[in-house]
Amino acid sequence: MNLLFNLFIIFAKIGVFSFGGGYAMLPFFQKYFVVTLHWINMDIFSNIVVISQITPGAIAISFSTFVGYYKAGILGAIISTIGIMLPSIIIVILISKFSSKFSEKKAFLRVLIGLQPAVIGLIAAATYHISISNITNLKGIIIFTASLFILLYKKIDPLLLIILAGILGILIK
Amino acid sequence: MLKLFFIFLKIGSLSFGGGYSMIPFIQSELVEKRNWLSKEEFMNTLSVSQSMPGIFAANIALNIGYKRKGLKGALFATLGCVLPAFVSTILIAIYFKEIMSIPIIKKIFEGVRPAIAALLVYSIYKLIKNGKLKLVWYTLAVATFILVAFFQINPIYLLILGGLLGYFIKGGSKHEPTV
Repeated sequence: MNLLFNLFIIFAKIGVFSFGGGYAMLPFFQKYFVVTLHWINMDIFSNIVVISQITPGAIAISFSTFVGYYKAGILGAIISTIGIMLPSIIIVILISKFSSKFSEKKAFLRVLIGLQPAVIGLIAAATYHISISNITNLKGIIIFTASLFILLYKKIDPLLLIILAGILGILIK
Repeated sequence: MLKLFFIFLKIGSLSFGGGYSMIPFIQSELVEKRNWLSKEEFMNTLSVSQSMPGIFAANIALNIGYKRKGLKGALFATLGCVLPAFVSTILIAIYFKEIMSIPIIKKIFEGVRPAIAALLVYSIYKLIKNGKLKLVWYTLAVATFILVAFFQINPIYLLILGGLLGYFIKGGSKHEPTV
């Protein structure tokens, strides 16, 4: 019971601060589940990110479902996913109710500008953690460099890139 | 109500690689095929969904569901949108040990992990390119990176700091952002 409650609170907390999309949320998951709570290690962390890319839907849902299941079974997965969704459900509904032109408020737009560099820094931190634990040999360096090159110059679809990288994973010794 | 659920179930099932890949699909489904929203309402919904905390795709479902059928509509649409991710992830989670003990799957994961680092680098590149922030703001980006990556500072504080700085500093962007 206590564990379920904990799961709910942690995911709800992350849910409140999830600005800037799934990649920006990775440092939260890393901080809570790998560093502070030691629930998962970087290997599982990286695997969850892979799973999130090969399944439909948001990264956040992959984490809430996987970590919730890992700690407390199917009920844990459900509670965690509700936890991560609930803050935004409440906020979005309150805003739809009370303000029709929320996105036009100047002060709020300025807050969003301030969030942008923080989000960039967060994604950079996620990149650092994922890189040091996953680009550890020549094979990793080759796949990373090749992926970045095609992303920058060929504007490849991310899912297609994942498939190609998976094939390279099999082919390169 | 069920219609909302099934439309977003379909949208949720086809959205690989984050919320942004869903936009054209949602647009053709809701704006062109069903005329639920005008193009302008749709763009407005997008910008609101983007600026709210939470999952971009789920926020779109929430907003559209709420507009059409109130609270219940919002919940049904969101449930539809999230369910495919939940079900597919839990199936993998249940059989995770078995799946990872297959050598070829392990190799595939090993191959994909460096590619994800590349996807992250690319997303930073795109954010900087499209963000049009004034140069001083990047001190905050660098500070956030260092504090979170090397000192394990809770990211929450950096987001609060960014929000506060944004609130008090006027003219932080070269343009009014198209949020």
